[in-house]
Amino acid sequence: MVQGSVRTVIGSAAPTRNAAAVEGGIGAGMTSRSLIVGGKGWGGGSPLSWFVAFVLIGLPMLLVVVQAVVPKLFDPTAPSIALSFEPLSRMVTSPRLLHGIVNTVVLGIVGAIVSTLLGLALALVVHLTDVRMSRVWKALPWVVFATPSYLKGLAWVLLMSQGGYLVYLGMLTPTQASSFFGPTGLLLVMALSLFPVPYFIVRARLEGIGGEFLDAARMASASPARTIILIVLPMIMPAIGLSLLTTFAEVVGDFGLANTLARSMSLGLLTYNIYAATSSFPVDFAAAGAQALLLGVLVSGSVVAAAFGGTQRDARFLSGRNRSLRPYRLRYWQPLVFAVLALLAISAAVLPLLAVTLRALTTSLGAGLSPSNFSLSAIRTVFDISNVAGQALVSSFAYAFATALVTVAFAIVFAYRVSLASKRTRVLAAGLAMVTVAVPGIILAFGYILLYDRVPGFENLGLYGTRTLLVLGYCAAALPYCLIFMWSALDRLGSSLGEASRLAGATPLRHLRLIVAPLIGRAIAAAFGVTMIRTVFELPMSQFLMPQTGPAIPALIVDDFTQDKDAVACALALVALLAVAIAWGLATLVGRSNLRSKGAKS
Amino acid sequence: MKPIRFVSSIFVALSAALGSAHAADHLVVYSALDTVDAAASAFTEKTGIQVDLVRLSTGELLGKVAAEGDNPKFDVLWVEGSAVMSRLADQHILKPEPGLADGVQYTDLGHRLVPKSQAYFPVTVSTTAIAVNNAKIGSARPPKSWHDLVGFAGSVAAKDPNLSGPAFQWLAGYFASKGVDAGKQELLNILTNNKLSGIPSGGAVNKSLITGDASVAIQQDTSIYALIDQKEPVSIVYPSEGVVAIPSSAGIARTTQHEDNAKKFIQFLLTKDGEAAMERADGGDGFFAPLIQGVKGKGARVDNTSSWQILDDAKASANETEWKQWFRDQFVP
Repeated sequence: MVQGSVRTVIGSAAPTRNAAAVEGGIGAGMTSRSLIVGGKGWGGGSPLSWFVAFVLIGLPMLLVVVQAVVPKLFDPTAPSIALSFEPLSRMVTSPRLLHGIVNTVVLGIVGAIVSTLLGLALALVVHLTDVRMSRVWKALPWVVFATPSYLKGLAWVLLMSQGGYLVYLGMLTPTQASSFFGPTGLLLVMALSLFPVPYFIVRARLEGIGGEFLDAARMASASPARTIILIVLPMIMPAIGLSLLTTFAEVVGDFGLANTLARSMSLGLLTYNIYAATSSFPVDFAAAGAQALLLGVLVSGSVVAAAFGGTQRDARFLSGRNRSLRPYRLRYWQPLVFAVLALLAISAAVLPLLAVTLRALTTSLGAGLSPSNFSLSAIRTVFDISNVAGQALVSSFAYAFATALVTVAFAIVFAYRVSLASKRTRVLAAGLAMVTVAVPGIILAFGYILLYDRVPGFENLGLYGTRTLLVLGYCAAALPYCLIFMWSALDRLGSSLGEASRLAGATPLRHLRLIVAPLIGRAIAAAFGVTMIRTVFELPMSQFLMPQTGPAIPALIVDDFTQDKDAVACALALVALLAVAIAWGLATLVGRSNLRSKGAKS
Repeated sequence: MKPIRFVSSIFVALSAALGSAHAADHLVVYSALDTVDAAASAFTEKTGIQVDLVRLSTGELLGKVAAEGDNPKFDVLWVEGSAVMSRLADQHILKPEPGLADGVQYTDLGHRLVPKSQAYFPVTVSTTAIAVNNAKIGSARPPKSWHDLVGFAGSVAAKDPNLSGPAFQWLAGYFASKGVDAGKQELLNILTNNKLSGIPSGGAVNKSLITGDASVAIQQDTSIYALIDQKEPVSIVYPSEGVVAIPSSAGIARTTQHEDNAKKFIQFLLTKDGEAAMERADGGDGFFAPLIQGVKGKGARVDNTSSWQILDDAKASANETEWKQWFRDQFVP
């Protein structure tokens, strides 16, 4: 029983904020109170944890959003608490803002459908068939996920511009390249960027399906296609619904592609308009707050739909009697399927990373790939430790490690306490976490400036401009999906574990330390790794809470791009990605060797 | 070592490392210019005063300054665009420092750019000109004036003045020379392709010009000289209607605790040594037009600053919100 639970935890510890959110957060919230067993101290109330989470996330965000109705709250010359609904009404009366909203919703819906289809297809092929090189295809979503969207957006601009690499290589004509910059091109890039989200969700469900279901279908002489349509798809339907909703939230909350590709396509989106409102002078916090509020409503709508639309059905198929899943043989379909997957890998990962690599190794953008244009000077700049780029690289990894340590530690305790709470509390917590991850980080970052530089009491802490505040900001940005990871894992634990501990006289914290934590160990490790990756590339906090001692990597990459130093920016991004890959590989090796040594001892 | 002890020792070490990072005696400089690193290093070398830099693009930096409001955390703010600095001076975020630049050997343009308030001081200057991609326009006659850009409508790239201080300076200067209504009408005839108008940054404008759909661009001349220096097929045209000066200016926060060091920093920027350090910078901002006598511009820069116009900051500042909003509504998707 315990083994079964642990296996499910691993499967559901998907490396995506919303994927894990829905898998664990919403799903858990609406299914069973797996850990609630009653008794003193075993309730879910944890006012201190809620207070910390509120100060870390709720309060800063509120300070920006409230300006949607109190626009002069932080006016430098004449602050006022007078109410005004003008910022909210402007979203309807301004054609530009209205177009941004409509574009965002339409793109969110279509993007969700296309990405989900792609992720679903990949998950079915990789996990139900004997496709060759399955390890490569399983790693592909991770690679795509680890690449930040602002880098992917830039890579596609480098590839598909009229004078871009594909035109230079003669693979496209300038006219064909130009035609890419339209809604179809944006959808394609969105799908190629976001398919890991539905893939992780569907994969988690597929791993929960025991082989006995497919074996039964085989014995009844059902064809693979018929089995998938009549048995597998109905069983994973909740995951498909969740994928659609979470991808919708991902699309509407995405800033990287909105700022690069969508902008090149003359397509205004909500997140870009929020950025524009906060980066123009004088800053329009009221407009940013109003649009953030709307974004929050859009995402909460998807959360509510997820909670009450049937996608939360309990779909735990694991029992102590599960058989392992025997894959279908592709036979003569093998070459075709392999070719399609190779095309997907090339489009989603190889081409964007290649574009970034080529730009890092060339001097001039216009000279393209001519031999005389190749140079290692940008790479040398990054490895020059006396240079700000080298220092930023080292600092960013230290920040990411500190962030992962603090956030995961807090998330374990907080998620555990929430998992003991009432159903309503758990749905509320999961919903708040989802909204938080979808609202652009820039809102949270500005909230941090306002809180720690303008609000009496907080201002006196002297944290503003320090590395400590940057790490706190990173923690706030990472906390929601760390919580979601934990809920995802906790949901799979049977209530008997808690009952046994309680009957043995253990306190909830002792139960957490001795029973729960070891059982969700791999989810904790995954949360730690994903938090580190995301923090290394976390942009808004890095920009707006930049410590006075020097920038973190994302701020430097984007600054270099805006200052037209593409080659150095790409070199820096490339080195950071490689460092992440090496760190991840080392962590995996250490984890495996630990498991082996434990196995040998037992 | 037990895991919990190991984790707590790491946590304590990290806290100590993070906590000790903020040095109270350092001078804090906010800047959007890529010359600031070289200038700050040279200043520290000369004076021993440590400088902490916060460098962001102009839009983001001013967003941060706006969020800090009446409690600014910089000692020195150094950005491009005098209209922006004028507004900050009016809001008493910048502190007037009469006499700070009395000993500075400014050029004629430099003297004319010092505001009456003396709340900020011009350090370098640039302007907005027309960048022409020679390879793309082929045999077509290059534009000679802003008006000639109408002939290139649909392939003219331009920055969004809402996100760029220099771009707003250009827009305000454009309206000053053409008249607001006539200027608006002409821009409507030039910037007909919303994919290319209202681009967020100078870097993105250059990408459109070099590899994208634009054949000409309304671009800061420092950036154009940097492209020429990189051997891109680009030439620069100063429009015949005249151009408006975009000074990069430095001012001191009203709330600074390091006023003397902040004054020393600005005074250093206004010396030959300071300007020479800035010219050693890698990025485009190093191609500025010097405002200090005896300093020569870098690269292919021609010395034509005597004909540059000076913006009426008060008027530009008073109309800033309305003009930016107009531009956003017309040209930003």
